[in-house]
Amino acid sequence: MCHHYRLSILLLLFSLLLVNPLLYAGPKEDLVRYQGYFQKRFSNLSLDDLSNGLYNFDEGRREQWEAIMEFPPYEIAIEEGEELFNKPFGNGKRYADCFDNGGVAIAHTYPRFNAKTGKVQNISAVINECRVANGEKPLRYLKGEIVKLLTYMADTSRGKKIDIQVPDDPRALAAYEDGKRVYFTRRGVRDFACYHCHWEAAGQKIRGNVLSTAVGQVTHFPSYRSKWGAVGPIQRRYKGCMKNVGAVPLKAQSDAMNNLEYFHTHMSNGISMNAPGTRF
Amino acid sequence: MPVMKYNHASQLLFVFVLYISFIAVPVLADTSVAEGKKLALEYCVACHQFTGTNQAGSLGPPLLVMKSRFPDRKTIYNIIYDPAVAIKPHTMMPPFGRNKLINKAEINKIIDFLYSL
Amino acid sequence: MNKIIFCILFFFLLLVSTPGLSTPALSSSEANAVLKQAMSLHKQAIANEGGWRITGKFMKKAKKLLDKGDRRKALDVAIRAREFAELSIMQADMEKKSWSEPPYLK
Ligand code: HEC
Ligand code: HEC
Repeated sequence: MCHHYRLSILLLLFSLLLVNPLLYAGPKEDLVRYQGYFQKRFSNLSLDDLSNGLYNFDEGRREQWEAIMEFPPYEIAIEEGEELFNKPFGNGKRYADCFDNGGVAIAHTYPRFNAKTGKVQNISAVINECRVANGEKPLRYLKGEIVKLLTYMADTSRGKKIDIQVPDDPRALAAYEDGKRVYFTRRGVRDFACYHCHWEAAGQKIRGNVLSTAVGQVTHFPSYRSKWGAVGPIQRRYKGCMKNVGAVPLKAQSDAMNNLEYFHTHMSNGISMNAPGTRF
Repeated sequence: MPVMKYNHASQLLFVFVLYISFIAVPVLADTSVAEGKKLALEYCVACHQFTGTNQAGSLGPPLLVMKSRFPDRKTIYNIIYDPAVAIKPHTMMPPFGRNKLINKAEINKIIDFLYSL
Repeated sequence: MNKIIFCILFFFLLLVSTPGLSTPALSSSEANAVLKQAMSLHKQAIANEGGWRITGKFMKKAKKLLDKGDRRKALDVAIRAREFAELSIMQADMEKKSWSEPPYLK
């Protein structure tokens, strides 16, 4: 009797092992694992709470942050961004013509997989594509005008849940998987991958800095950073972390960076957008 | 005073000892602990607390009573050289020796310092 | 007397032959050659998405030393830059093949 019981458990375990690769087959299953890790570890925090990043773990900084948020330093960028957004190009067309829903309340669905090119595009890429198609010069990435546009567009998505789609297209899945590779790759002389600091070490201190959780990080980007004295997009932040670990940062808007953004944004699916935000 | 008779070999030996002490003395003992501390403050505080740190990180365990916990120097040496081999493959501790951030002599100074804790 | 002189000579011979303590004449071309290798390896590492910033720092340092005419140090530093470049390429190759999620995410 007892023997049979054990045997059937073994069989059950064995069949689970066989099914496992199927359970972990794709982005949907990843999402459950990734968000589950933090939900288990920080059971006192909701998924939306996670988007408060390091302020979940550092009372002092949280107070300073809340004081700053009384007069958010990104307000001007939203206003200027809206003006730029609505200014017609030389040919009379507008940014709104290049996006779904006139570009309003769509930021939480980017980056997207573009079936025409087979590549991932973030909003910055679509903005420049739109400009070029309408006879305007592309803007430089990461700073200046493009960031103001992003800031305004993100603000129109505030409160919407992040919704990154990986469509049923092998190229989309490959881009997602490539982003995962970039994320879990050790780089720099100190041999760090992103996960070292933002998963197991989340909530702990590296030097004087408390570390944020990987899940929830994207929700407030573009974000105003005191260190930058300006609002900046997430790829600027990626470059900062890469530099900090001693790596030559990947090029902004390269396939590797875009795929990283795709993968990294996907893991926050279902969490409310709260962008633009502020950080030290 | 009896006259000592040196043979050629012992003279060579004497000179050799003189030579060794000439190049080795500055590296020994106290200075080694002090230099090891300097290195540890540069490379280890980001993650480890130990006596004399403030603003240290909390990612790795505090480096306390090292001599009794790690009586064998080689164990610590291997950890500092390449923790991905000595501790676990996914460790976040950098491979200071493997990536040539710190050389052998410097690792030994760090160990001298850790043994003083 | 002879022996004393011999001993003194022997002592200096040893000192001079100790690497790092001696400074034999070096042409700048040696350091330059190593620096060039370092640069091309560093470029290769960056193309592999695996460049290290420390390689660039050491290359700059080596160039400065060369400009100052300190060839011995320049060579040492250039060699370190080349080592970093080599290690960075190894890391990038290794990671491409064997990156993985940590066990706690499985
Ligand atoms: C050595 C540790 C370390 C590594 C490795 C690291 N980061 Fe960071 N990261 C930090 C620190 C410190 C901060 C600032 C504190 C915080 O918000 O977590 C930060 C902040 C961030 C932020 C902003 C979080 C916020 O709430 O605004 C993002 C996004 C980010 N990192 C992404 C990454 C990515 C992607 C990688 C891999 C390329 C990476 N990090 C690797 C240390 C690290
Ligand atoms: C980026 C963070 C980090 C840095 C920098 C770092 N370590 Fe570690 N170290 C760790 C972690 C984390 C562990 C625990 C093992 C693990 O989880 O990989 C550890 C473990 C150790 C251990 C074993 C301790 C024990 O009690 O088991 C020693 C010894 C050690 N480190 C020494 C050093 C020394 C010496 C330096 C500086 C040269 C250093 N570490 C730098 C993160 C770090």
